[in-house]
Formats: sequence, structure tokens, C-alpha cells
Amino acid sequence: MNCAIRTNGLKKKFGRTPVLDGLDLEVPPGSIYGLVGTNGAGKTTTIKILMNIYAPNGGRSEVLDVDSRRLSPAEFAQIGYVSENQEMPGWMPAGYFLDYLSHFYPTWDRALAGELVRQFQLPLDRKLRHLSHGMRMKAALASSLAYRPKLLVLDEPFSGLDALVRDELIEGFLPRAENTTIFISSHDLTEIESFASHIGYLDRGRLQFSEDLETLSGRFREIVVTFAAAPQLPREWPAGWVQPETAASVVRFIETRFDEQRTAADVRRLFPESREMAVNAMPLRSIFVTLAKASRAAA
Amino acid sequence: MRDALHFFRKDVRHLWPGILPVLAVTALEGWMNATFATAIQLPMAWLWILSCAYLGASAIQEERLPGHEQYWLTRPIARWRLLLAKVLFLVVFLALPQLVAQALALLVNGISPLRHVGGLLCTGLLFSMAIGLAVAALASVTESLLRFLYALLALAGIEILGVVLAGPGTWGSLEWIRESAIAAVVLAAAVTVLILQYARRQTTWARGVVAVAIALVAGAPFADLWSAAFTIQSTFRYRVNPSGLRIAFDSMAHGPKSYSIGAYSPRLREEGIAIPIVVTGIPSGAAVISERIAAAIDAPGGQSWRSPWTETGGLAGMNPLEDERVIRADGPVWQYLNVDPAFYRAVKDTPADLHTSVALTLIGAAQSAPLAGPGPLGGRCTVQPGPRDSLIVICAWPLGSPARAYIHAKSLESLLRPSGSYSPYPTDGSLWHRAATAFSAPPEPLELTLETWQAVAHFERHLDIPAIRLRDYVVRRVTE
Repeated sequence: MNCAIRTNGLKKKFGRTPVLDGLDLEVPPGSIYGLVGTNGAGKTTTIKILMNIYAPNGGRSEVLDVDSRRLSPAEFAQIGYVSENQEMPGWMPAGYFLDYLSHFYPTWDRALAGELVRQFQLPLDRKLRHLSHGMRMKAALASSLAYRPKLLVLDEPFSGLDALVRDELIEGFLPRAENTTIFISSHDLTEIESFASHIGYLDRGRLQFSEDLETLSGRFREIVVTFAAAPQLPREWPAGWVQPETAASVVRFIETRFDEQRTAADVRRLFPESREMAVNAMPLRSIFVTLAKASRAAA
Repeated sequence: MRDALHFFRKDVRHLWPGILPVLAVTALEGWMNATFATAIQLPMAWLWILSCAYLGASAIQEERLPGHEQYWLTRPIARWRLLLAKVLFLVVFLALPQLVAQALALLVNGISPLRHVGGLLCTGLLFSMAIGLAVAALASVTESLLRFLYALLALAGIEILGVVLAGPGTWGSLEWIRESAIAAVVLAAAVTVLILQYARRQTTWARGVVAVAIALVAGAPFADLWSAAFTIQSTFRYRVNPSGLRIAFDSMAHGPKSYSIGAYSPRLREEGIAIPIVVTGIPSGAAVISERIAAAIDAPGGQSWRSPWTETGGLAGMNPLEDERVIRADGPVWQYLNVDPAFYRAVKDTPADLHTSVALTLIGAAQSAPLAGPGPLGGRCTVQPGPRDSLIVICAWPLGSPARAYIHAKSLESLLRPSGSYSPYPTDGSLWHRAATAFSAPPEPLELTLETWQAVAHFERHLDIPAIRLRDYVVRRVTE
């Protein structure tokens, strides 16, 4: 398996409104891939196509090397899916819900299910409709982890949850991610930046970038160049330098392809009068803001 | 099957509050069938249908098909196994109890269900499953139970509107053909919808199929296909060959002075014509029922008039005291037809060519038995005193009825069943097919007998009468 999830040129329209516009995405196996984007960016639509809930209008998507339009019970037995809006059978007590679902999974691990129930403190005799939103999400997660899926797809799982419950959920699936690819969507980067290994940024139906976090953090730097007098911006401006700002004797910009030696050489070449250059690491949130602004400007 | 049983057990666990009323209503209907308690039979039948609709829809909505948020969509659940479970649920809780209740009702009345296995399967199993599948199909394209109920109400409204707009006309004894056609449309649509939904979740397409089916069923009362239905009926093989039966114009006879048959009487804007004809070749032990007539009149000067197949007209015997539409022996009879008055006035004195076609049914295989015991075809009769020293006789036949039935009391004859269905199988869910008649009884004790006739052939006869003067055969209305 080269990719747990792969999409090529995926398109989806609702009426005349395009939601996905040629989405190309690859999720490496074993990764914790965070799909980030604003509300309406197309995250949920992407996931619903991957889960064969929606049919795409164009392109192709594969999940566990199977065309998502042809996902069969055999594949779903290896996929866990939890969504914030998922409709659960409210009349079922949590215990019966788990017991009922266990029938469909050959790999259902009763011991693990019991462990998850204890960890999440699930009240087994309480009907799902009488559980809080957080508890329902825990029940859904427990029912999606107990068979040790190869792929766990979480669509905005933390939406509407307080920090404590969110941490409990994360503590629920993270230790079990060793042999599982986790694909998680969120509109809030801070929810997933602490544990995601890869990040994709979706904006207006297109993936603006998709990288592992280490590379991403490594290639973004804020560069501050100091001059003796008010500087002139050069005519030639590298494509990787974005959001330039000038203030008094300072030029500030963001280098999106940071390489210590090459960036320093470029600065010296373009700003021969510069007195000093400072290189600042950027928090992930700032990187995202930069990228979002850049993609909006490009659009 | 293991998965299907798993779904089934889950559905039973959740839906038992809906299952109990259906079983209770079925049991109550069974008891009413066993004891001939007719007082609330119709409301009970509707209650059964509604409770079945609710239960069936609830079972389907357990795993709702339209929508994108249902938990089960991303579980390893094969939808065809889900469909199997739902069909199993419908069979176990709708069809089988009905079958058992009807079989027990027969048994209580001393009739072996084994003698009526085919009929019981039609009414108990097939009829229930047809309703169940139709309900399942509608539930499979609706997003909630509430929306299903709205759709059901809208559907009922459309059907009622269709019937109201098209008028109450039925095809009489051939109604079973229309009912069968409607059932076939409903079943085909239901199966198509269920396949579309459970195989591919194509809700838009499935809703389209539902809409087409509703349009076809709502349009059924408007379709004037009686002639085609009679042709279909005529293709059934019967025991008697009617080819020897002839009708001919009796040019020597005069027309009647008035109508003897109210049912044939022309409406206010029609002129009634009665042509004397002679019927010959009625097979021994058989009689002829006149079903409908179609006529065409061509007058000089290119004037012509044509009628569709109509019930208000046809052959009628000479004796007004006998069953009016039945001709029991060779001899003279009247052929009634009602003509457009403007056309009549224009051509009444001109020799015109008259072409008529009559649809006829040969009835035979007559059987009679005293009312006290089991009657022919398993019929059960009761006699009750009616108002003004009359007697009311009510008879019921299991899973079908004779084409014609009479009650005889010495020389008195009363038509009990004027239009029994010619259907070779039951087309509704009723166990008993009832008929009733009332007649004035003489003071002395009577021995009543039940006489039944079966349809043995259906055919048309055509008559061409050249240069006939309509005025010579015009008759007054019953009301004149």
C-alpha cells in the first residue's frame, strides 16, 4: 500500500456550486494526516467522497488501494469513521451499540472494547440519545477503534467539545495509531498541530499544500533585514519571499523555501546595503496564516 | 443470512411496541372473519393497513437510505443483506400472521385451509407483501418517519382526487383486471425502488420511479380500457365453447313501449332504442349475461354516431320479473341502446345502418344447496328477519365468489350476487366475499336454497342491421 488515501483531480459540485475543484491528495500509510481549512473549504465533502457517501462529479479517489466508489463491507471492516454530525441509533444503549456492531467486524477485540469503555467512562446502560455530545463522540470512537482499523477517518471530531473531552478523545486514539493511518479534518489548526505528522491545507476545493510537519516548519522563516537608512525594495523579488513589509530601516518578509546558506546569499545579493539579517522560526499558526493569505492573493 | 438475522433481532428489539398492535389487529380481524362479525370490518381493515404501513416504514427507517449522516453507511454492512432482513421482517410480522389468521378463520368454519392454499397465499401472503413492499419502497425514499406519513397522506389525497375526478365507474366483474394491473405497477415500482435504493442508494431516480407509479395509479380510473380488459378476459380458457351462440335481428317484431330495466334507462339527454332480436344456441345448462354494448349508426348524408362500450344498454330478457341481464334460454330478447338525442332527431325517420357489438358472458356449472348447510363453493349463509316481514339473506364465500348467485324460495327468486368477480384468483385481502339480498317472504315456512353460477366463457357478438328506422324502436324512459 503506497497511500492510505489518494485522490486525483477530485471534483464535486452541489448544484452549480463547485466545492472540490480538482483535489489531489496523498496520505502516507501510518501517518496522522490533518486536513485543515476554513469552514466550507471542502473538508467534509472530501471525506464523504472518500467514504463513498457522496459520488464525485469527476476525478478519482482511492482508500486502502480501492476505488472509493467500490468500497465494500470488506474494506469498511478496516476503516473507522467518526463524524461530528453522525446520526447514531439513539434508542440503543451504549453497551448494546458496541455489542451490535461487534458482529460485523471479524477483528473486533472485546478486550480492547472493554478498555476503551473504561478509558472513556462510557455508561453502557445509557441510551445513546441520552448521552452528551462528548460522550456520543466517545462511543462512536470506541466503536471505531475496537476492531483495530487500518484507517481511522475523523471528520471534525472535536467540534463543540470542551478541551478536557478533546484531550480524552485524543488520548483514546493516539496510543492506538501505531498501526493505523489517521485522517483527521479540522477547521482549527491548534486542535491537531500537537499530534499530526502531516498537514494538508484545503482552500476553496483545492489543496494548497500538503507536507509533513517537520518539513513545513523547517522551510518557513520570518526574515528581518536591517538597514542604515530607509531601504528600497529591489526590482527582482524571489517567488518564495512573501508578505514583504517595510518600516523605517527594516524590511520584513517570510521565506517559504528557507535554506540557511541560500537565503543568506540571496539577501546579501538583493540587499547589498543591509547591515544585519535576523532569521526567526515561525509557529505553525503563523505559517498557516501566511499560506492562506498567499493563496487568497494568488486567487 | 447470519447478518440478516442479526438485523432482524435488532429490529424486533426496537420495534416491538409497533409489532404488538399489528399482531393484535390481525388477531382481531381473524376473529371477525371467523365469526362473521362485520360491524367494524372496514375500519379494522384500514387499521390493519395503517398499522402495517407504520410498522413496515419503521423497519425500513431503522437504516434510513436517503441522507449522508447515518452511522451504518460506513460500517461493513451489505445493503442486500439489510434488504433481506427487512423483507424477512415484513413476512414474519405482516404476511404470516395474516395468513395464519385467515387459515384459522376457515378452520373454525369447518373449511379446510388446504383446499384453499392458492387463495390463502394470494390474500394472506401476496396481498400483505404487496402492501409491505409498497410501504417499504415509499419509506426507502423518505428521510424520516414523519415525511413518510406526509408522503402517504399526499399519495392518498392524489388517489382520492383521481377517483373523484374520474367518477365512480368500475369495470364490474372485470375490475380484477384493473386491480391486477395496478398491483403489478405498484409491485414493479416497489421492487425497482428497493433495488435502486439498496443496490446503489439512487434516491433521486427511485423517487422518479415512485412519481411515475403514482401517476399511473392515479390515472387508472381515467383509462377507458374496458374493451381491452374484456379481450383479456376472453382469452381465458373455459369449459364451454360459445361459438354456436348467435344473435339475429327479428324484423317481424315491434319495439317495446317502455323500459323494463332501470339500469338500461337512458339519461335525460339520451334517446332509448330497443331492437328486437333472437338469441339461439345457448348451450344446455348455461345462461348468458349481457355485460356492455357498443353501437354505431351510419345515416345517409354522411351522418354517423358512435358510442363507447357502455353498461347502460345491452341484451335484456322479456320477463321483467327475472334477473334482467341474464338470458336463460333461446328466444326473443331486447337489445337496448341509448343514442345522442340530437343525432336521433336528425335521423329518426331516415333508414340508417345500425352496427352493434355486445360483450357477453356465458355462465354455467350451476349448483344449488339448501341454505342451512354449507353452500356451493364453500359459501356460508345466514337468514335474518328484515323490516315488514321480509327476510335478509347474507352469504359469504371464502377467497372468491360465484359469477351469479340466487336465493330461491319455492317459485320466488332473488338475485343475491349480481356482479361476482371473474377473477381466477383473489385480488384483495378479504377472506370472505359477501353478498346480501332481501325479499318479502310469504307467511308459511320456506325452504331456502342457494344457487350459484360460474362464468364459463366470455365473447362478443356483432349485429349489423341495414336500413332501420330508429323512430320505430324508440322507447320511453322509466320515469316518463
